[in-house]
This record gives sequence, C-alpha cells and structure tokens, in this order.
Amino acid sequence: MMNTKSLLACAIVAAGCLTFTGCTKKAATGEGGKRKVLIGFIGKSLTNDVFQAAQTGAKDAAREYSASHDVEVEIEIRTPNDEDATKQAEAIEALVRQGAQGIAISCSEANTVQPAIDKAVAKGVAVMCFDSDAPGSKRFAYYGTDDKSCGERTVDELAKAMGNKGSIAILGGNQSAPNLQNRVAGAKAALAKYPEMKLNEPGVFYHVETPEKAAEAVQSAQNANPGIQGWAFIGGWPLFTADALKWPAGSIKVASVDALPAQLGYLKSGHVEVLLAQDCYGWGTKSVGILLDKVLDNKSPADARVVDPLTKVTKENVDGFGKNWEKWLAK
Amino acid sequence: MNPMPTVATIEKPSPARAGMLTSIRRSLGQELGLLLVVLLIGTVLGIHGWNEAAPGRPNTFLNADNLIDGIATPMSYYAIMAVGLTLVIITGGIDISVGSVMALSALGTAAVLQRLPADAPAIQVLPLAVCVPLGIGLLCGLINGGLIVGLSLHPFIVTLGTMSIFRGLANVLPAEKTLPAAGKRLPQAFTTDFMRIEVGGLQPMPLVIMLVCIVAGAFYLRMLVAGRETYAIGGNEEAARFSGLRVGWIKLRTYALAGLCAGIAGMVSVGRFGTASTSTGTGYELTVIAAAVVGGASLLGGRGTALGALLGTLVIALIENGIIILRLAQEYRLVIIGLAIIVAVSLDRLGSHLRARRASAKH
Repeated sequence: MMNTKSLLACAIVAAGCLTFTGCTKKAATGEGGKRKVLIGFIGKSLTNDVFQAAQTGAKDAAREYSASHDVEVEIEIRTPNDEDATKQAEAIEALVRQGAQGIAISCSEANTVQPAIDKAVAKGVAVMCFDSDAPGSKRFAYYGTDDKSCGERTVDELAKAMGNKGSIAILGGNQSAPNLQNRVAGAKAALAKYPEMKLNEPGVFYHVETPEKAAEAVQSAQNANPGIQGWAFIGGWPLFTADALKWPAGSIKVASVDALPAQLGYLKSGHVEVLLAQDCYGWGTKSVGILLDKVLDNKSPADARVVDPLTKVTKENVDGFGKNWEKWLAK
Repeated sequence: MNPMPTVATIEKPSPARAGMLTSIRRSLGQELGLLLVVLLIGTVLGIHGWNEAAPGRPNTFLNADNLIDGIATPMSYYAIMAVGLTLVIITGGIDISVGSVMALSALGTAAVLQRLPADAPAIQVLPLAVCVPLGIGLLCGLINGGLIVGLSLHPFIVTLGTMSIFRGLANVLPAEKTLPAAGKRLPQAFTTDFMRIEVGGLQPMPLVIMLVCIVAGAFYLRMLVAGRETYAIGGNEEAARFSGLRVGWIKLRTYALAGLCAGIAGMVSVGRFGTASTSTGTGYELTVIAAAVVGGASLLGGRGTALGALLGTLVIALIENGIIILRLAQEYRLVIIGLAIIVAVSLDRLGSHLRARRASAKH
C-alpha cells in the first residue's frame, strides 16, 4: 500500500499535469482544410429502434453533405440510454460547450428541456425539434408527425378495412402524454365522419407504455368487450411483442401507428391491415438538412412545423419497406 | 477525584480511541486514494481536451464551463443523496427509495409553487421552496425508518416497497405528468434568481448546496456524538445495544436524514429545471448507491464518510463527462460505471485482506 506522503506526491504531480494541460492550443481544421460543422443529435432513448434509425439517418445525411459540399459535417449523438428529460437538458448544455452549431432534439418532456434549448439559442446555436416538439421554446423548426391528423388517419384506415361500419376501440398508451391525447382526440374526431361506426364503451384503453403491458391491455379489453370488431392503435406498443393478438387473422381489424421491424410480421400474417410509418429515418436526414440550411445559409423552413405525412404500409409493400430497416439499423 | 494519569496512559491511547484513530487513518487513506483516481482521470481528460481544442477555444475538459456546468451541477443531486445514503450504509442498512423521494419532493414543490405568481417576491417564495421539499423528504425518510424499526423488517424490503409507493404517489397525486401545469410558471425568485443564478455565465448554486451538504455530513459523522453512534451500530449492532445505545432511534434518525437529503436533491432539481415530472429521479438510486460504494462505504456497515461520498460521485461524474469528452458511444456508460464499482470494491477488499495479514503477522 502507498503511504500518505507518496499519495500526496503523486497528487501534486497529477495536479501539475492538469495545470499544464489547462492551456489552449491550435487544433487542426477539418479534412482538406474544409470548414467543420458540428451537429448535436438527441433522441429520447437508445433502447428504441426509431431513434437508432434517426441516428443512422443523421449520420448518412452528414456523410452525403460532406462529400458533395466544401464542408465537413460531424454528428455528435447524445441520446440518453433511457428516457430522462434532465439528461437531455444536460446533453444540450454539453453540446453547446463542445461548440455545436446546430442541435436536433426529440423532447422527452418539453418543459424540462425548454430552458436548456432557450439558453443554447441565446448563445447562437440553431436548435430544432423532431418527433416530439417543445413549441414554447425558442427552437426555430420542428419536423415530425402531426398528432391530431395521425389519430384521424388511423381511424380512416381502420374504417376502410371495416367497410365503414362496426364497433371499435382505441388503444391510447399513457393517459398523461400530451401527444397521445392529441392522437386520441384526432381519432375520435375522425370517427364522427362514419355514422355506422361507434366506440365500444369505454372506448379508449390506456396502459403503461411497455409492449407487454400494452399486449395485456388489448387482450383483457377484448375479453371483457367481445363486441369490439376493430382496433385503432395510436402507438404500436403491443405489436412489439410476439403473439400479442390472440384472435384468428382478419376476424378483428387493426390499424396501427408505427412500422417497426417487430410489427411487420403482423401485416404478413393478416392480423393487422395497415401500419402508418412515421419517418424515423427522415427525423435524422431531414433534421440535419434543415439545420445545415440554417447554420450555413441562415435559411429557415417556410413553415416552422414541417409535418411528416406518414407512410402507409400494407401486405403489398411490406417486404420492400422491411428492407429499409436493414439499412436504418446498421450500426 | 480522578487519579493522576500515569505515564503509560499518557503515551498509550485507550483501545477504543486507538481503534477510532485507525478507522480515521484508514478512511483518510481511502479518500486520498480516491483523490488520486480523480486526478488521474482528470489528467487523462485534460490532456485529451488540450489535444481536441478547436483553434482559439479552451481545453474541452479543463474549462470552468465544463467543470461547473458539465460536471459539478449534474453530479450535485447524486452527491447530496449519496451523503444521506452513506449514513444509512454505515448503519448496515440500505435505502433504494431515494429516487422516488426526490421525485415526490420535486413534484410537491412544483405543485405548491405554481400557485404563486411568477413574479412573487423571494421572501414569500424561498421559504416554501426550501421547506416543502425538505419536509416531504424528511417525512418519507421517517416512514422508511419507522417501518424498518417498528416492524423489524429488512431495509431492502421496506425501501423496495416504499420506492414503489412513493413513485406511485408521484404518478397519482398530480393531475398532470409534468408540473407546473400548462400556462403556469414557477416563480423566478426560486428558479432564475436563485437556483439558476448566474455568476460569470456559470450557475454555481447546485454546487454550493452540494458542498454545504457534504460539510454538514462530514461534521455530523466526525464531530457529533450522533455520528459516532451511527458508526457504532454499523460496526456491531448487538454490542452497541448492550452498550446502552438506542439503536432503533439512531436508525430512525439516519433514514430520516437520508430522506431529507433526497428532498434537498428534489429541491435542486426542480429549481434548476423549473419543472418536475413523474419520471424525475427514475433510476437515480442505483447511481447513488454506486457513488457511495465507490466512495468507500461498506455495505456490511461501519465504514463510510461524507467526503468519500463526494469523491465517489465525482469519479462517476468524471467517467460520464469523459465519455462525452472522449467521444465514446453513450452505450458504454453503464459498462464503465459497473466496472468502476467492481474495481473499487475489489481494491477495498484486497486492502482489508492485506491489512489483516499484516496484523496477524505482527502477533
């Protein structure tokens, strides 16, 4: 064991090294003297495939832009391991310290990250949101789903599959999430267009947002309400598990938001009629494009809210769509 | 009248005093070792930060902005809770409900403060902003301690239950998932003018509160009888009981203090972010336990210091900051922190083993 004097001596030497390294130095510019642009990218969690796809999109966009322009674009991924808005706020601050010129973020909680976004903007950093907005913040743009029309579209597709008649239920996820509340409101509004369709009481089923809990919620709701003939999933949670839908394929119609790899099998088996894919790869590519326009040319989109129209995935195009995921989830 | 002390008693301290001196020397050695680890990580990151610095920009690691806003502020909640948890671990107990207590305190504070106007005066805001989270934290700590002592249940089981209960209450009591509710703001006398107050472009208040808690914890453990009693029941609970110590009362007090620290962490969090949510502090208990263990607290009881809790948290904070500075993927964070815990405990065990061998060789 080292004695105290030796430890102190080592500590003094280390402190000396620290003092020495505290000075600044000239660093190299980008490859071939290109101007460097650092873009920070913050998803909600690393455990979610949609954010892996978004990160792949961001890196691909940066690589393509760097190859075709006199700029070297670098992407710094700062997505927390698990959803934690405070970690996101700290990530924004860290990126600002690192010298990022632009930041794209999907906010876990708008209120928590707003001060960090506003502080970054005050320091001259261009900040935009994707997937989940912070509308009260000073972000200059948003790219993602319009939740109300997403809910409407889900019911519209379900109505088509059911011949515009029948009794349906809505799977609503977390009752407190504002974006999901908007989707439920949109779904209910769309239902009003179909006089021969009705909500099977209580109509909306909420649950903890895990695949297992969602699958249990669907199963128990269907058992308790055998009159349900169709389901509008405003999030694809139960379909992330295997064998979530316990009825014969096609006997009960399902339309769902999201089209992750785990969900595609349900389309192929005929248990689900339609999946509405959010542009998760585009959250990366388009966000980087919008940020570079802002950082390099000071150009903002004509409308601050750029809406993703959602991609319809059915049995006919599922194989082609599935191939995208091989590229999107590449490490 | 006391007899005159003999030469022997002057030169040789009593066995109890000698044991205490040995314990203090050992903990000082451990803290110096941790300090060395901190300096070593700092040196590596400092050299890398110097290499990475863009033209005309400061060292990416060694600059006040990173050291205070990037390391000290984010680690403040963990360090404050680690002090409280270290007290509990010294008694041989554990408290895994601290993250939930932090959430409940933060939400309670936000629920109360959102009723005040955004421009309410500090004299009206600050007493509430301090008393509400500390009161909630203290109450939760008393509940933990009361159940452990009153029902003679294992601390892990009790705090596993209360972790779930407190988190559940955080979910069901407020109408919204996030507070303040839409259209409301917490008074700036507590947020921008107090917890986020800027000094030279930095926000040092969480750091200041953390240091106050560390000093208070160190004073409590080193200088007060209550602190020595905490070590006594962790060292040997039965012996402490036969010595006349009120073990139940000491445990109750210790869990109350751990709850109080979690309440302070909740206060810092809600003040810094201006919001609290049902997910505030989720999973923080594991980082806090890790910080206490890396800081030298023994899960068998009887050992640990407030300064160790600070240094243990600092090691973890430096690892997290290092992952950013070194541009490593975030996925490695948990792996590296896990390794740090195992290495720290293994080195501690090795040190104990070597000391025991040296002691037996002397006899």
